Amino acid sequence: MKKRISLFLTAILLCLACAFPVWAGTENRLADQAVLLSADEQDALSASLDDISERGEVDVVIVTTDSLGGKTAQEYADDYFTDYGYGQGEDRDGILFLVDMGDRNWAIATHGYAIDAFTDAGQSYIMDQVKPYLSDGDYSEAFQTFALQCDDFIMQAESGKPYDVDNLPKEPFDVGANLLIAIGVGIVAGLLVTGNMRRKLKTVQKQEQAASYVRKGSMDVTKSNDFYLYRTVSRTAKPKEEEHSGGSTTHTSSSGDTFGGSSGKF
Amino acid sequence: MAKMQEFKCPCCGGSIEFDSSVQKMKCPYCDTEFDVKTLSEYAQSVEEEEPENMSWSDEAGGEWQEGESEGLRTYVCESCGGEIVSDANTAATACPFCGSPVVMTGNLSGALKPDYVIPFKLDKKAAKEKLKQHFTGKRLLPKAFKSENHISEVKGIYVPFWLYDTDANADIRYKGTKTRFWSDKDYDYTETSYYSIHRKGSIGFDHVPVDGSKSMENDLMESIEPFDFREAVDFQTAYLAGYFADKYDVTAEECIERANERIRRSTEDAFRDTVKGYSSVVPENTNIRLKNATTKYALYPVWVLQTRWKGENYIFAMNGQTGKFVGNLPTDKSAFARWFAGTTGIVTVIAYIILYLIWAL
Repeated sequence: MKKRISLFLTAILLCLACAFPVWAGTENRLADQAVLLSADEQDALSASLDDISERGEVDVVIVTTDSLGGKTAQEYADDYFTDYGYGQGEDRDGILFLVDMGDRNWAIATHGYAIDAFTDAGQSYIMDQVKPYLSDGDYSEAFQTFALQCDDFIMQAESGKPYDVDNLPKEPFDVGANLLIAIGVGIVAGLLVTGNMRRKLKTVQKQEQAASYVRKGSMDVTKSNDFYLYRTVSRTAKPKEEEHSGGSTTHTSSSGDTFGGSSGKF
Repeated sequence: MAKMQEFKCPCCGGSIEFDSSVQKMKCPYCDTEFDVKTLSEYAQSVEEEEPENMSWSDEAGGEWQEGESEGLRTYVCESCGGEIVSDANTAATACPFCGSPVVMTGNLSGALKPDYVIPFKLDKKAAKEKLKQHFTGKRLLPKAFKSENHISEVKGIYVPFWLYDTDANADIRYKGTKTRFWSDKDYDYTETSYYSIHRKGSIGFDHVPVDGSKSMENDLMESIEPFDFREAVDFQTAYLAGYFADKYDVTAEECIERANERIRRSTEDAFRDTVKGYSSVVPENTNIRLKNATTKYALYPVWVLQTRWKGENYIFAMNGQTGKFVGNLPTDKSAFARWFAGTTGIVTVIAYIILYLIWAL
C-alpha cells in the first residue's frame, strides 16, 4: 500500500516538474556519471556552479558520461540539456559542458541567452584553457577552469559586449617565452656593444680600394647604354583572409530546439 | 644569302632560334622571347669585349749620383732582419720594428735612389701625444697596458713606397633587373625586367702607393693612408738627417699585384656607381686594361712606436704627414666579460619589462 502511495506521489511530482520547467533549475548542475571527481571535489564544484548560475542567471552545467549511447557528443549534450530541463528564465538560458570518457569527446551546448554570451570564438578560447587539463586527466582543475571562465564570460556579456573574435580575454603572460625573447635581445645587445668596443682596439686594416688616389675629373664614360632584354612575371596566390564575422553559429537539436555549441576530442 | 648568325641566349646561354609563330627569337631551352634587334645589339656588345690586360712599364727609381750616397749608413737588425738607412750623423742602436739591437753594415750600395720624398711634418712629440689619445675612449684596453706602457722606441722612418700612376680603361657589362609589384583580388604579381647594361670609359689614378718594405707590415702601412702626394719633393739625402730610412726589399714588379687589386676594385666601384635605377645589378663581364702606367719610388714619413707587453710585440704607426695614428691594442678579457654580462643583463631586464608592458596594454 505504502509503495503504491509513494509511486503516486512520484508521478504527481513528475507532472509538476513538467508543468513548471523553472522548477528544474534546482536540478543538480553537476552530473558526474563517469565518476571523475571525488566526493569532496564534487561538492566544491557543485557549490561554485550553483553560485555562478544564480548570480549570472544562466545555468552552468557540467556532465560527464562513459557512453554517448549512439549519439554524437553534440546531440548528447543538446538532448541532456533539454531532457533534464536546464536553463533559467523564459528562454531557458544555460550552457552545458559534456565530457565523454568513452571516446574522449567533449561538447558544449548553449541555449537562450548563453548563445550570445558564448560565441564560437569565445567557446574555442575557453576550450584552449580547459583542454590541457582534460588531456592531462586533471578533471577537477578542468571543470573549475571551465566554471571560472563561464563566470567571466557571463559577466562580460552583461556589460552588453560579449567576448568575441576581436575582444577575447587576454591570454596569460607567457613568462618562459617572453624571458627567452628578452634574453635573446640582451645577448644581441651585449654582442653589439662589446663588439663595438673591440673594434675600437683594432685599427689596422687593409685598404681594399684606391679611391683616394683617383685623379680628379679623370673619370670619362665613353659608352653608356642600357637595353631591355626580357621580362618574367610570377604570381603568388594571396593568403585567404580569415573570416572575422564573430558571433555564434546555431543548430537545431532532435527536439527541434535551437542550440549553439561546439565539440571536439581531447 | 644572308650570313647565318648564331645568337646566344642572354638568359641561359643556350643557342637561340627564330620562332616564326611569334615572329621573335625564342630560346628553346628557357622559352624566353627576344626582339631580333635586341639580340643583335646584345651580341655586338659581347663581341666588342677585349681580353684583359694589366701591365706596367717599369721605370721607377734612379741611379745615385757619384758621392751622393756616401754619407749614408745601413744597419741590419740581427733579430728580424730589417734593414734601415740613416745619414752618418744619426746613429741607430735599436731596431725600430722589434727593439733588438742593430749593427752597422756599412755604406749604402746597390739600392735605387728614391724619386720623391714627403718630408716629415709632425715631430716626435706629436707622435707621443697621439699615442696618448689612441689609448683614450677604449674601455676594453687593459688599464695596466696604459699605465705600465713604456714606449721603448719612437722612430721617424722614411718607408719606401712604390707609386703607380695609371689610366684604367674599363669595359663592363652588367645584368640589371627592375622589379614591379601589383596585385589583384587573388594574386600578388612580381614582374622582373632584365636589362643588359654596358659601360665603357676610363679613369685615372695617381700615385697609388704600395709598401716596398718587408719589415713594415702592408696592412699597417695601408691603415695610415692616404698620403698627400702634392707635398712630395724630389729626393735629397738631406731629408734623412735625424730620421731613418728603410730600404726597399720588395721590388716594384712584386708590388704591382697589390696595386692592381686596389685599382681594379676602385674602377669597378666607380663604374658601378654610374649604373642607377635598378633593383639589382650583377657584373657579367668585367674588363679593365691599364694604360700609360708608370712606377715611381718614394719615401713616405712614418713615426713608428714599438712596445712589448706580456711577451707580445705591439707596434704603432703614425702618418708623419697627416697624423693618422693606428695600432692594434690588447683586449682586457675580464673587462670584456664584465661589459658583456652587464649589457646583456640590463638589456634583458628592459626588454622583459617592455614585453610585459606590451602585453598589459
